[in-house]
Amino acid sequence: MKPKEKGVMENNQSKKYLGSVNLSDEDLEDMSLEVSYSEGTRLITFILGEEKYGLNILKVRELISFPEGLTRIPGVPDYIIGMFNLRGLVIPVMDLRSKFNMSGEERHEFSVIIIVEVENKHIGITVDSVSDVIFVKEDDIQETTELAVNVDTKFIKGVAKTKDEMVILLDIDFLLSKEEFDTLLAEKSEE
Amino acid sequence: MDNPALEEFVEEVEEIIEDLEEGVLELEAQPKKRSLIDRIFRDMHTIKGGAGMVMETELAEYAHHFENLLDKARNGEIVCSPEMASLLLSSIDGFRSFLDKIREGGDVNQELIDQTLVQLREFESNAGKPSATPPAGKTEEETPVTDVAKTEPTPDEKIAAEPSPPQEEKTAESEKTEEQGEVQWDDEDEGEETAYLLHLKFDTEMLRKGSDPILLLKDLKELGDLDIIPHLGKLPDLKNLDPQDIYLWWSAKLVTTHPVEEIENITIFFQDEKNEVKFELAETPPEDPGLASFGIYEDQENKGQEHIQVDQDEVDAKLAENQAVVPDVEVKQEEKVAEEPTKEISEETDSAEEEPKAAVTPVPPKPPPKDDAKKDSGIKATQSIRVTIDKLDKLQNLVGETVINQARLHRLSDRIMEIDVNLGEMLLQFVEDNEKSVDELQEQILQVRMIPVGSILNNMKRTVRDYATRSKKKIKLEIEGGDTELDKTVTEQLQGPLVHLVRNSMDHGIEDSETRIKNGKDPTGTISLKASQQEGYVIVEIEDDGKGIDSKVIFDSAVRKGFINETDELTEQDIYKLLFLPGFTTTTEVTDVSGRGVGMDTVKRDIEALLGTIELSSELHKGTSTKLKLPLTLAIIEGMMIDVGNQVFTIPLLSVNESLRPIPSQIKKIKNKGELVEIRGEYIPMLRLHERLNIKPKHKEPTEGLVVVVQHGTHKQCVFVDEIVDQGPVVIKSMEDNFIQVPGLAGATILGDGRVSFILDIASLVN
Repeated sequence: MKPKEKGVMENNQSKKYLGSVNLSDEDLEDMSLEVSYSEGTRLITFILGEEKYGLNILKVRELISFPEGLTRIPGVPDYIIGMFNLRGLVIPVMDLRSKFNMSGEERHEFSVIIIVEVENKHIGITVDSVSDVIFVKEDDIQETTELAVNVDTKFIKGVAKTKDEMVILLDIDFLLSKEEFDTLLAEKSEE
Repeated sequence: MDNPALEEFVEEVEEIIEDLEEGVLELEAQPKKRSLIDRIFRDMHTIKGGAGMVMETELAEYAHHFENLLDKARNGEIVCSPEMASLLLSSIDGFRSFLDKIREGGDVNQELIDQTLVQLREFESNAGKPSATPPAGKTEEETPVTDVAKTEPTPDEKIAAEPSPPQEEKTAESEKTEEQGEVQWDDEDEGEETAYLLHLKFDTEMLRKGSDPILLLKDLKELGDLDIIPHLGKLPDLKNLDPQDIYLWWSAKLVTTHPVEEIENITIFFQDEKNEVKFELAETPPEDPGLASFGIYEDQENKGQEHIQVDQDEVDAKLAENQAVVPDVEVKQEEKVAEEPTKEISEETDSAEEEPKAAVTPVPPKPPPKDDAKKDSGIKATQSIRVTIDKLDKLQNLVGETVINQARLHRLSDRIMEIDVNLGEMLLQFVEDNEKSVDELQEQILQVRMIPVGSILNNMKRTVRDYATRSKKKIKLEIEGGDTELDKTVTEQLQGPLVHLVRNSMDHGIEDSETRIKNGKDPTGTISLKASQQEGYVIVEIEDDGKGIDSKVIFDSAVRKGFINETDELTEQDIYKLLFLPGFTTTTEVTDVSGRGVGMDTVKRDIEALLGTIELSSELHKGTSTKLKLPLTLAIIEGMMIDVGNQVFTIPLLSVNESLRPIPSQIKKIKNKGELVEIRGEYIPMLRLHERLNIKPKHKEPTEGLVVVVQHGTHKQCVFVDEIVDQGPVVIKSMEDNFIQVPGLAGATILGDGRVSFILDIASLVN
């Protein structure tokens, strides 16, 4: 991780040339912060309904706007809204709102598809809008499953608290795992 | 396996093993063919060398043992008996085990390795003592029978362990020849191989002129076995050495099956007044004392002139052997020669003036047959690189994407045309030019994936040989059309079904020799494998001249098993189709080869997974023929695009019989059986596709839409759709790549407009 290296280096240098470098308290604080960042995760955050969610950025392949033509897949639940062609790859799209049984309009002009890679598969998930890329320290992540959110807690890894907000960490590996997908077919036949 | 060198080694050895296997099988048929032994020896040697390089010492050592054996064969100490062939074949299984170990980790099948080595030792010790007791049974005593059963020994181990009496006879024979020390190689008798001695001296300045002696040597090497000896006599000290000068000259012996003209064709480019490029027919047979006797090592002493002394006894022998071989070379014979044929061939190496006289073209006794030459020297070296199939898949995806973008561009140019005709025309021109390249690109990328089907057909040789040795049936395998090309994936997946069908033919088809003679047939049964290309499909036929299949027996058996009723009327063809039903078998006894009743239905399923079809026909007492029809490639199929409620689905055209719009009277409703459509007197069940797929259709009644008649195996099904949209090649994409397998869908494809269309799985629709 670049920032960390930089921090470490500057720190070393500052020790070496301590006499000649003037560092403000603020600078030092920043540096020490950067160093402590070594344990943590970079998240992409997005809005879904009323909540802000986060997803490990290493899982994300790209963000795209809603594709022109989605082809519905017969025989699977409605929250798999179809498959589309992404430069020669045929990729399924899961609508997170309907997967999590959220009410409200299905999509609007800010609707975005995040293409994630799980188990070597590329899968799109729809979100209301993408907000930011943030860094959270390990310490700031609470692995709590007791949450007052309307999302099935089995898809949630925990909560990350930053300065001014709370981000729900999505367990994307489980949400889009083969085991979970295999239940799709059973789910549909029960309907 | 992360080590790329190791990876390359494994791939290389795999190829060598294939060559080795083929070579051993050929050698068994022609045990006295020199070039074959040389080839096998080279293969073995390459494995050993390569294994040493990648530090696979155990493998290198293993190969070393067999190399020794082959060396003895090469020196004429032993002649390849069927027993030795079996031994060599089991060594191949040993190598495969090593490769598996390297590739996947884990352990090598030590039992197999040890067993083959024990057999090798026994073979070698027996070969040394003509009167030794036959090795039969000994190996088996050493290896507990239970262990053998556990590890499922390959047929070869068994064969190797129990040599039959005729084999021993042959071994004895070979020992006799050994004692006399004169193995007659078939190659010589047939005049197929000729040895030439070459004398290659080049202008010191040659490299400066842009030529290179290496080129000549390389070309010569392609003609056959080339032994090269460099002469270092003129090499100066390092400080005096000019890297652009040539100080070396070469003597070489070429053993080739190619006609002399081909050597001329190569050397002619190097013939000029400053070079000395000569060749002559070697008097010595291909593997005689070799170059040493040619005098090349004396080079440094006699710098100016070379005297080549040929051993008197040797010349005697040669002259007695074949007078005609004495070549037309410049020979300075001493007066005594008439009585004492000591020959002295003199070559004026330094004087360029005498050169033309010395460069005499020898005429070989008889021009070797070209076909044989081709067969023996193996595949001609073509420039190639190895690419993983993975990379090809990616490339194919990209090309597919380009094709789609091309279609988009086309539509865009149409729209621009509406706004600005000039601009539109210009764009259209460009788009159309581009289209040609894109089409070509797509075709080429498909071509790249094609490999000759011969590689797997040839694998059957071993299967047949092993079976024949074990069963005491006499079977001949004929292969035709091995150069027919097929997608690599299809070819690989064809192997299993093919082995199954060939085993069926051997086990159930071909009778034993006695029965065949009794029935007035050739005691040797024939299985022929033919591959050919027909209308965009590859046809592979497996035919035997065995006893055929009695359709009555099948019928009775099917009735007994409850597949059909006794009163059912079936055509001959329909009866044969019963063989493909799961759990159907006609044999009462279960042999270890086939007859477990899991035969033909598996074959059928495998072939259908490759989008192919299988057909069987048979004539009692005459033989059975199985015909496989396979698409050229798995990646692309001809598809029919149909519309249901504005969603386009694709049906593989291979499954489509016809399409029609039925009139009301054709449609019958039958209780519990649903709807049927009557087509030319045949009632075919109808499926409303929109109901199955849960889509709101445009048309509610078949009489308004269309009915597509599809067929899967013997089952026909009418599929009611809104309309047919298009027809053409589609690239198949697996649903599982990024999702899961969805019942009813065989895959997905991308249509010309960039949308995804699902390919219907006809098998599941029909059943």
